[in-house]
Amino acid sequence: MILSGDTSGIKNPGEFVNIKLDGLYLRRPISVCDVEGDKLTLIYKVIGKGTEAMSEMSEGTELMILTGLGNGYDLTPAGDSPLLVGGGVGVPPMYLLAKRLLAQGKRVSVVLGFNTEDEVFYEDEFKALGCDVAVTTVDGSHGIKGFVTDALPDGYSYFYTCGPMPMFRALNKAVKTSGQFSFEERMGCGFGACMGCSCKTLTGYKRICKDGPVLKREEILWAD
Amino acid sequence: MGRLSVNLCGIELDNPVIPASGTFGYGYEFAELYDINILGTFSFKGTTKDPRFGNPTPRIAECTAGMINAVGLQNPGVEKVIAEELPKLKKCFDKPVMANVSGFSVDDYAYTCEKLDKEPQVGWLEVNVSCPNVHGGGMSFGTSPDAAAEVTRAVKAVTKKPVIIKLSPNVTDIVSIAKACEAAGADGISLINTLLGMRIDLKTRKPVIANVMGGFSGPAILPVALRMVYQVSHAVDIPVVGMGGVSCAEDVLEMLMAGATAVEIGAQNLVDPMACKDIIDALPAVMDKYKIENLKDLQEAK
Repeated sequence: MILSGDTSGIKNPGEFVNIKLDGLYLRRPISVCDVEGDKLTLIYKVIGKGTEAMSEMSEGTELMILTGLGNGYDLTPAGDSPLLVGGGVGVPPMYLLAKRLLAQGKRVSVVLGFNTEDEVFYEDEFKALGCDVAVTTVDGSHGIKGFVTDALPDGYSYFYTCGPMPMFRALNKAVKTSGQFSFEERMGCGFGACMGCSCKTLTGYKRICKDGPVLKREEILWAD
Repeated sequence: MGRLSVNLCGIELDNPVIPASGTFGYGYEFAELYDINILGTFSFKGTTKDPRFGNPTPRIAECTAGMINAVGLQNPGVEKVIAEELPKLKKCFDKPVMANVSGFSVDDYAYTCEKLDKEPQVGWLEVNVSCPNVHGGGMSFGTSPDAAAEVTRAVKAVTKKPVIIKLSPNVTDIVSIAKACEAAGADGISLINTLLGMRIDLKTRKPVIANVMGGFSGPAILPVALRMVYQVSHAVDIPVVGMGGVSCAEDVLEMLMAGATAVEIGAQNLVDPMACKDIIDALPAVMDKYKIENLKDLQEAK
């Protein structure tokens, strides 16, 4: 979905927007894939009523959106050769992050994980940016057969990731550097008021929507 | 004194619009969006004696015209609220705030209220005997006239500021509970807290909310809230703060016409952070439309 409007509230890669949809009470939080001038790109998977309604919208539809939500990724510790790992619907926020890191002159490696070939997206877009891209599919129908952890490159300076919890757990065991994880949770407001998406961390209680969604590896409390 | 002003337990409010507890944090985050001094006041996040993380997630579920929450009174505890949250609030809010308090025993309520009563920023104590999301506390005090009265008496004994008891709709006879609180010395009643509800995920065949049940709020509950506000306000002589599903200026007027003195707005803040500002801005024109000169006139007409 490509939207045009006031994007000045969006500062960091890894932030999200919260979309009001007709007939649904709670807004739907969607991560920012790309922002360029007044153009905002969102990529989402149709999971429930909200994303279904979004997929049926026609061109020219006006939406009420809260922007600039969440902390986003901190680029300062990236080092010379950061690694970006996106799993499924966790891939989109990696795109703006890759763009920003490349603009800083970093060498960016990207590993994208999917279940099957049908789900693969944005491989070419990441390559066009100039990233080193590896794609994995669980069934081996495209790229490397297996999980993102089967395709991690050597020699990265730091990592950034977004994706499902099982991937996070595996990745946390496999990575060799510090890094940042972007979490997902059912939200009420999306801007820190309702405490609906709180989690426990090693540095206290955090609201995924406001203090997150990005948490540093050192502060995450792995509940396994 | 403007045409929107009302008087709640002896304290004049510029308008009757009060963001409800649990939907407005400790205020300062909304102050980044608009000047929160335009509000009548607001009721801060339910505060307990000890810090609480609350319930596991998911804590939120979508409903038709509403939502379910099962946050479970997450808060930093009264000491930290006084030491950290109130000073932050002071920088952006210069009106008396409504201190919302919950507890797990009568002593808990009295302890927390006594502490907050001494804070100059606090104007009213809103005592929540109606949280549906915690076990062995909250709502269990609000479902019996005797228990609600016991909490009221204990809080009144250690405080000087107006005490407003926040009631649960999940009861057989709300009027008897409100009357018991009034007889025990309550200065006001606020209602309704959320309705106990649940949702089930068809894919997993399990409840959406980790805690199984939660509190249902949003526009869907307005008629239930109006009915209970009407019943209670016509049965007691103390002010009633009406809440439940209020989402626009018209709803505020309807609540006042049901007998409320002031109106709390809850879930709407979560879907539209500008909701209370927009409601306050819209009130004069909507009052003109229905030929209401002053909001206080509605109370006298009750």
